[in-house]
Amino acid sequence: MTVENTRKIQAISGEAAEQQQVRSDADLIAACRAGDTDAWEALVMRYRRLIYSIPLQMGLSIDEAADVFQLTWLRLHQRLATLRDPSRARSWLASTAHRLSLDVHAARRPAHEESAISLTLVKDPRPLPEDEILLLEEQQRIRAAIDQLPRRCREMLVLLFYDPNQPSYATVAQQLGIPVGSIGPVRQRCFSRLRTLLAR
Amino acid sequence: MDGERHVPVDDLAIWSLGGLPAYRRQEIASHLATGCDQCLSDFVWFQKTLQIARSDRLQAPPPAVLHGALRIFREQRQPAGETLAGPPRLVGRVLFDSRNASRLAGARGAAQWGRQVLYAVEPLNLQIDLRVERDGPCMHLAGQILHATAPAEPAIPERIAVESLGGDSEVSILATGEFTATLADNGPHTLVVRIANQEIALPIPEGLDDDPAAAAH
Repeated sequence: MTVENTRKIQAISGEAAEQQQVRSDADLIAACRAGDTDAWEALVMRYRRLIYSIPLQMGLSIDEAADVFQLTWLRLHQRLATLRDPSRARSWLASTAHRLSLDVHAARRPAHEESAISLTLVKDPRPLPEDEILLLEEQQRIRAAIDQLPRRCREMLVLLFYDPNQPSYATVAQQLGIPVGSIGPVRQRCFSRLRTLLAR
Repeated sequence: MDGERHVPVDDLAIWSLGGLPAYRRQEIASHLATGCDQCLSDFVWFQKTLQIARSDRLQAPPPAVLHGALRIFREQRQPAGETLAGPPRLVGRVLFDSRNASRLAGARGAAQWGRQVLYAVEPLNLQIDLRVERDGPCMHLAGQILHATAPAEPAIPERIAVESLGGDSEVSILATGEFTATLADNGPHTLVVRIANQEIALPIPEGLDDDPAAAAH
């Protein structure tokens, strides 16, 4: 991977993606159909964790998860023009990644275990339960909402929600570069914004 | 604490995060005990959000993997004026539908299957026989791709795609052209065969011959 590519990804995952993040999935799909490369990149960035995590949660290796990740996005690209409900892109992507992961599981089994040709969806012994997929989707939804917040809110909520060390006020203030006394009001605004985004 | 004054969301959040002094927790608990709908709703929302976030096991792909997905759009983008869908789709023409046959004959057309449909794809000299049966929330399919006349061209593909609202999947096709599948829901679904540089779409019929709705048509 070139330095230029790395920079490109960093740019997309940072400020450049913020403007795209506020767009709905349906808007991004429509823009992709019109040939908008930025919209495609925003979609990939929005759902990168979800799509990569599904095969991993199903016990696939890192290499297999990478294959499922690529193939899922390739499928979406092939289906861009005919996707019937673009507002459900998240569920479509999750379901497609799940099914592709089941295919990988099925391909691992010895040939003599394969009976009549069948859709692997219902044959595989290790499907991810529906509620597990829904939980991953909910986790993704919260991540995506936090990604849409201004930088200071984003950093604060990442510290509060995802830092396993549960940092102190002083640590949070230091990391955000704000006085300890400002944490309460900033946090209040951040929670309100997050709730507004998640209510959409 | 005044029972009518709402608790700031931040206090509810910090309580959930375990960061409030005991006296303040007691005040909030007393307020919630009054049955304040707004504060209870805020509290439940934050507890749920925090629980989901704290259980987050999502992992980001390595940069090289991510870059591969970002590149797909650029590398596969069609020249200006062309669609992203690739070649235009042919839609199989229905030659026979057991639902219609049932109505005409006054009997069910497909003996052990809920419905049988025969599609023709004329430009490719193909016929596709499809039988559909429902099993609770699932749908069983059995079909065969046939050459309408000799010579046997084009070659039968190895897989057939199933496009569904919830995502896509693929089914293998035997050398004889036969395929079977069980779908997790009753659709709508579309079978898509990619053959001889063409995409052929076959909408799977949703109703069965003995559906009450069938009699109404």
